[in-house]
Amino acid sequence: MSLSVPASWTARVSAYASTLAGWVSATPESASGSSPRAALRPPSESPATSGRGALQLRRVGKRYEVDGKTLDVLQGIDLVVEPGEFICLVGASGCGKSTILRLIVGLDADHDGEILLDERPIGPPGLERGIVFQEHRLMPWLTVEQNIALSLEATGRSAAERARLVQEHIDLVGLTGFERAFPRQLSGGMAQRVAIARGLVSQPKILLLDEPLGALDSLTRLYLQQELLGIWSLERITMVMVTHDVEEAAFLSDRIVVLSPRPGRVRRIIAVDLPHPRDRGDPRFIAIRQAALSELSR
Amino acid sequence: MSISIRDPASTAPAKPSQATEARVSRIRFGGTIWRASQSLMFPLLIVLVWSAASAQGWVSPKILPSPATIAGTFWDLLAGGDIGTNLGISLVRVAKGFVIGGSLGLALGIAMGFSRTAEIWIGPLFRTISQIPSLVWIPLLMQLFGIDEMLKLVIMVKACLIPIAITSSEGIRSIPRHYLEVAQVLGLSRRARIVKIVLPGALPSIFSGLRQGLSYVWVSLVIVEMMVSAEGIGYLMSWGRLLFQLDVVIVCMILVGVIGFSLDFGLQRLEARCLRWRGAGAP
Repeated sequence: MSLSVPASWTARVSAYASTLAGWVSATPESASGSSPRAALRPPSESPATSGRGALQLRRVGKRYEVDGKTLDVLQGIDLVVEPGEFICLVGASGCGKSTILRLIVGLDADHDGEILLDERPIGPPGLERGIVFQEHRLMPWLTVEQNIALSLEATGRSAAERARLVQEHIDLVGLTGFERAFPRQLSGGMAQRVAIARGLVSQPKILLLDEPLGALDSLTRLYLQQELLGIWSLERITMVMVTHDVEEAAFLSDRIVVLSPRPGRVRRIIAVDLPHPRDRGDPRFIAIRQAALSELSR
Repeated sequence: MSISIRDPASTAPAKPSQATEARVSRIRFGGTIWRASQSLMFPLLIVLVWSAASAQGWVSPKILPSPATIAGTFWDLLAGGDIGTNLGISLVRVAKGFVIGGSLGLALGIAMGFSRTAEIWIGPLFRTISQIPSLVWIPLLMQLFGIDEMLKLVIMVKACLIPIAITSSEGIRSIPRHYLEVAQVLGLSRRARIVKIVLPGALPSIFSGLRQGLSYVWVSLVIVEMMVSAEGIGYLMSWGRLLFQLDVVIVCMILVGVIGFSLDFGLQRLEARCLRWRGAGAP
């Protein structure tokens, strides 16, 4: 199979490989060669200065009133996410996993329990919490760069600084050259990259991902999983991702949180103690995937 | 085993080369001429049948003058300055009416779109008034404003204010909640939300309101000019009717149609420019 790959992409992919390899401190040969790390420069002022968020959910619950009856959506969710950790929430549809993200991001303030980010209760939506939705939700009338810059509207940054940050994040998600494209001109995968850049550009402490790859074809999806890992390892940002794909969760996350439906509760937390990059054929990987699957189908 | 996934074609489409762009623009230009000539087929056919009917004497020239007579009359009216003067007056009136009515309509529509109170207070009234034809207002408004410029202005403003207010308020209110949530998550100020999200999102509806409004302004002006005026294209038409000069009437009718089409075409081009993000294939 021969696919033509733009040079910049190859450089980026090998840069990912080298960062991943350096981080895992294994397979040093993959880090060698002529792939300078500079090819994938982390956006300035990242991790070290902005700090990664520690997230705590304490007895979080959510209920709706439907026809005078109370419907419990979430009940007693306890979860501690360490700074820089990658957590995946998996569960059957209707288990309230997206609702958890909506509560964390602050779109829904009406809930039980406490949600703390760096020990402080979360308030209304703020730029310290970024979110990527399942649908890319880009404004069709704004170009790629304008869509990403929307995230910096509410910051007091100068125009030049905004432009620089936007460009850095366009480069980060591999869309250099598409700055002035409109969303309709992008494929689903490219649009979702823009959405990820929009989520990251304001340098949040935590990035919430609501099934961001759910609507993509499987090839693009596998590719973007690797991209996400690369971005995560560069930015060292706390990530909480909702997915219904157990394999995706096992491939990406440090811990898989399996939720049971109606009302949504934490059924089990599975630690994924495997180095990156993970081999989907590794027996240990398969064992973890199976464990999560059997929890889900229990 | 490791699978190397490099670059699914779907995520990195090649950018069109300059050569392709040049070809595309040539095709588009050729396409415009081809489409325009197709659109002229039916009018030409009608003129042909009409000429044949006149030449064969199927209808009396007193009832339906021949296309050649019409063309001659058109030339006379143009050379004599009748068309230029009257059309100029009508177009200035339309410009005034549309600018005033359009701005008021937009302002009201934006108010109704953002404020539920404004919508509750004036929405139903507007929708009711919009059902009353402009023509029906003339006798009443004549009592109030006389038969001068003010009457025409009021009728035209009324004709476009209401459709523009209604469509733009509906456009604003139908912004998908998804987009507003993004604004909320990004902590956008009220101003940024309106300027970057709500107004651009409502622009397609606003444009359809403006196009509808402009066409109402034109039609209602012609009617008012026919009924109460001493100048303007509508006046020229009613003058032709009084003298039983059907050729003048027909020339005016064609002019009214062509001018109305051109006004709308202008707005349509402006719309296509402003809404480039929708792309060529969009409705």
